[in-house]
Amino acid sequence: MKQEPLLQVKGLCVDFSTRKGNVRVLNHLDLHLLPGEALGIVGESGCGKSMTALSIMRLVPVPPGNISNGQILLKDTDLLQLKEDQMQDIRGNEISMIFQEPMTSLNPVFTVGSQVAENIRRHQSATAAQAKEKTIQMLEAVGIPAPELRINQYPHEMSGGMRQRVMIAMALSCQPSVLIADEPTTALDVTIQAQIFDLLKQIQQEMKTSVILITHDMSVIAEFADRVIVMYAGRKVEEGLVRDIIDNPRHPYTQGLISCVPILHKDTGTERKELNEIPGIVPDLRKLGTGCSFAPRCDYVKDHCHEKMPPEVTLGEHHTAFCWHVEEVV
Amino acid sequence: MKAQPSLKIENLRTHFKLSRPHLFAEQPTVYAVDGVSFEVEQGRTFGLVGESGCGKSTTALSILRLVEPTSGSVILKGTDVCQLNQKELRGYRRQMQIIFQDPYSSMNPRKTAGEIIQSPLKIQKIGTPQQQNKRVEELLEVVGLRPEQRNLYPHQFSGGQRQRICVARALAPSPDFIVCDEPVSALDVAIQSQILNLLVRLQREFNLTYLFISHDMAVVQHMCDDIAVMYLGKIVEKTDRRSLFLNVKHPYTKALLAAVPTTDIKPKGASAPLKGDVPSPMNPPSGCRFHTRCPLAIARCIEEEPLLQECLPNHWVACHLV
Repeated sequence: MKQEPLLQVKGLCVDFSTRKGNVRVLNHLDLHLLPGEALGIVGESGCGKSMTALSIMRLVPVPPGNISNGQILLKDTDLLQLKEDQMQDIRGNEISMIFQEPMTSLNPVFTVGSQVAENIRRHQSATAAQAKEKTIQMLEAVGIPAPELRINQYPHEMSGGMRQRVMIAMALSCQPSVLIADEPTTALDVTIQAQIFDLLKQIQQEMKTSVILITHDMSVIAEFADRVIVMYAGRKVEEGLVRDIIDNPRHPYTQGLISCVPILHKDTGTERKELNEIPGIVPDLRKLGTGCSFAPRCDYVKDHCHEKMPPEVTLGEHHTAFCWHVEEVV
Repeated sequence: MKAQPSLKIENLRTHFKLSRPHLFAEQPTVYAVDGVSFEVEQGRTFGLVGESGCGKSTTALSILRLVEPTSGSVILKGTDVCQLNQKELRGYRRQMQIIFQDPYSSMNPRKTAGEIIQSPLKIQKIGTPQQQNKRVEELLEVVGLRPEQRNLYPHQFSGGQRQRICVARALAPSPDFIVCDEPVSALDVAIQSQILNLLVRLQREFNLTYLFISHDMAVVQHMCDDIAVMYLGKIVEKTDRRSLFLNVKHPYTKALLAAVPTTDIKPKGASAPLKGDVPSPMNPPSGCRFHTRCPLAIARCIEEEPLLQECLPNHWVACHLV
């Protein structure tokens, strides 16, 4: 049975005008999110993954930014056509977001309780007392001990993991249908990271929320996501179910991303092997040529890669890659 | 083959005294590093792992005396660094350098890459200006940058290139011993592998000794020959890299390993994550410091502190239940 996608992004282009000219940070991006699904978006910094999230939230600063093309459909509504006050009804209510740095995204001069309650009062017709009760419930649901005391604390009185839990409570307080998590655990320790992902998984199953997880870490994707999109220089380069991508990556960039991470072995042996590298650095988005943007760093590169954009190649029911040489890349 | 230990740390303690909350109160103390001992052989890498706040960075800074240790000794090639006066210490710093986590905040943004790499040579008065110049060019090449990039400022480089500059600066006075304090945590995954490979290559080339600090078990496993796991200022498990992963003993090490995300298929939700946060080092729990989060804790753990004991050849664990 084919499910109707909950969220669809079609041909999205985002430009930024700078003093040195126009930069296209997202280039004809297509993606869809099914109900109850966890979609991972991976790539290096500057590949456009956070910009995708900001576009969906309509938080791209305009100017200098400009969404120059495309549609973002939530069910049947095109978010790009909405007025700002209509968008405010959706943001935090239908779609909400968890940011990377919990310290900088919480307001230091308000108590955490009032910040969670603010969202509830904005979107639901709740009295102050009801909002407070709901806030305590939410903080309890995300595993904060003694929530009735914690609501009166300020962000600096909490640890990093606790602050991220507050962010999650805030994002989930109105039961959104889509939750965007932008590198939610980058600033946290591994043990706390594991706690946060367990919490997100549990919430996703209980509340049937669809999650978009943005990260640069393939192993996080492997643990959490159902489907993956790999991005490079503002474009999608590969898409597929998580096992397709990890066990059978067909784009040279995806392969590089997977193989350059040290893997934990049970028996290390005595020899130390060298890690694979992706040579070079992410290209300057102002200076992209007409061809494949990964060509300068690619091992499989041929002359025509530099000239012509690679086509979308279908490799399976859900698995596609944008490369001229998918046959060779095994 | 047993090499000469290049660096020997004995019972290192670093406590920070805080201001009293009121006149008659007891002075609160943070026990950041509380009795740490280990040895590193020349040309090898010693890893320190643990969560933030466990004292791994303070240990490193105390070894370099960038933070004054409270007691204990740091013996680098036969000299106790803790006994040196400021003047002697400055000369000694030639032999020990550090690479920090965030390359951008550890460089002066108003100096060019060349000036940054040259600064240790100037401070240590090594060579004439011409020789220093030549050395800077050599170093740029060693770390994989182009000589003409010496005139650029830090903001004109990418994160990985900035970390290369920091590596070049650390190498400038030809040290024996380099502390790498989370050198890749601030970098993109694709760039991390470049820097890790660079560090391994340099170690082979110049026979360097590393103290490698990280919270990432996979990176530590890849880089280190010997590993110590720290929790709240103490070492809880210490052994070589093979034994640590093959015969992991301490429940905290097990939990750290279980928390690492992997790309393998594993039954979802198989590992129970550690509950709660690291307790405050100002007021560490009694007995075994890990007992508040330990899934196996028994009554004895609350009362009696476990000592670091050798349970297998060269495998030291501090736990009552081993």
